[in-house]
Amino acid sequence: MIKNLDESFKYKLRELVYALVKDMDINNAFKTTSRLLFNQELGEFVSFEPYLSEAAVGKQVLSCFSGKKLWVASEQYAEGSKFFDYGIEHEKIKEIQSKPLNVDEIKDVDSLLHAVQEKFIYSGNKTLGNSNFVENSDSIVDSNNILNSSIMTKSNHCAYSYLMQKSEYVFGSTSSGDSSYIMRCFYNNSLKRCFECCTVVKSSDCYFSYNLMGCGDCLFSFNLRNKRNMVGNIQLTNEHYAGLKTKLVGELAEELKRKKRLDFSVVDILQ
Amino acid sequence: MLSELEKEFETTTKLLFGTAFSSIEHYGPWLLRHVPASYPVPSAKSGKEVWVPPPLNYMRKRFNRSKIISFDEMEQVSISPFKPEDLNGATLNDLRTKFVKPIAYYCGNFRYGEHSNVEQSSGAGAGINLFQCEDVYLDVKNIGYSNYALYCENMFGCHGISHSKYGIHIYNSTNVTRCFEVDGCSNSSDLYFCHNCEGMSNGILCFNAKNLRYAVGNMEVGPEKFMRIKKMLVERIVHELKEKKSLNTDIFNVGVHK
Repeated sequence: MIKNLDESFKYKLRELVYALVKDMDINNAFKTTSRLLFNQELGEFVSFEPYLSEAAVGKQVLSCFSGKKLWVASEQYAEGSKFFDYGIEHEKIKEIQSKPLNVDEIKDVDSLLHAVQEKFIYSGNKTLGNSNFVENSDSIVDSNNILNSSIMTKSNHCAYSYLMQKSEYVFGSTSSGDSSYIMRCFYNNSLKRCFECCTVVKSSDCYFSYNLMGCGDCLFSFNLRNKRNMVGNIQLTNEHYAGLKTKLVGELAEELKRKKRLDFSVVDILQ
Repeated sequence: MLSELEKEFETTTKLLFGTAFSSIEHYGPWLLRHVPASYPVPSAKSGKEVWVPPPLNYMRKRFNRSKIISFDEMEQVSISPFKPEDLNGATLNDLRTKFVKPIAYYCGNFRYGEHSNVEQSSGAGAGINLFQCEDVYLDVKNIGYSNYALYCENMFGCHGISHSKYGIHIYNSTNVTRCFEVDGCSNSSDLYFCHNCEGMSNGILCFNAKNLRYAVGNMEVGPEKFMRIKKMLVERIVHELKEKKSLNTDIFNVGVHK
């Protein structure tokens, strides 16, 4: 009974802390990232959640003990599988999984499966190593302030993202390492201050660009190597680029502020 | 089909099941059951077959089929027909339609670093004998039907793995050797149907366990009893795989086995 009360109290406290952290840190991180990308704030993080969540990988399941919503990194678990909260339901799972098993009674594979059936409970919300303030996320290692994300290692201030390593200030993005201040970026590496970039490596200050390597200051550019000041794969002077960037990024920001999303992405720009 | 990979599939199945399985392509659909797979599309420039990354990393969207090129064709499409002065007064809408149209091509057949014997793969490199792979890079050898593998050898039908060897159907795992049907495991060897295990060796149907040896259903049973159960399980696997080229039970549905 006391154990239950303790667990319930711990859970409530955690929820309260998360609510505060989510409001303070993720929102602030989102605003910082918006300022760096668009020279202005776009609004509150919460109003962009549907737009950013389009990148998320994983699925919501329920704890078989508490009915609480959990996040699992893999979408492959079969319908009807059972789950538990790895962070706070350890004691409950230990009780079930340490039940003795008489191996001598097992005569075939069916009796083996039957004997261990009740132990098949998958873990969700796995937070490992030195991680703090992680909410509704799975397979998070040595990371802080992570929301609605999967498979994140040594990363901080990230939301609705998947498969990130050594990255920070990441929103609605997938599969990247060594990146910071990125939003809606898919399958990249070593990015700085990018929005809507895909398959871009070792590049910075790029928007709506695909398959760049070693590039900086590119807008709507595709399949380039070691370029700067490009718009639509057209080489511009510093001044020409700066003027056009201010105008176009301003247009992007206005549309984002108004609609809380854009109707097009680098992934399907001509569709 | 890469004959070298075929040989390594035989070696791997021999290690896992005591029986070498030949004709890997017959097991292709089963190997890919839980793997986001590359798919072929004709190049918009040459018409040649280009293997394109699956949608998982791209908000589940497939790239426009009419705008696919091979990685080695990108220089053919990267020059814009427009001049800098054409951009004067251009709006966001002009950019995303008129200006982008002639250059917006998406690449398949990505290759990286020194590589040889790479076939039917959307993204692979720095390795040898890679077949039907996406995002398989860096010191990789003999990998088939897999997505996101780094520093791995002899792995088949896997997704999200690193520093692992001789495995089939391994998912979100690191440093696992001689394993079959494993999800979310690390630093372990000789596991069959295990989930979220760490520091284990010789485990069957273990879930959320750490540092066990010769364990069945999370209980250490000793080498002799373990081998009896393993023999029984492996015989069943071999029988079903030989007969159906597939296995009904896997690590993602074993929890709901009736």
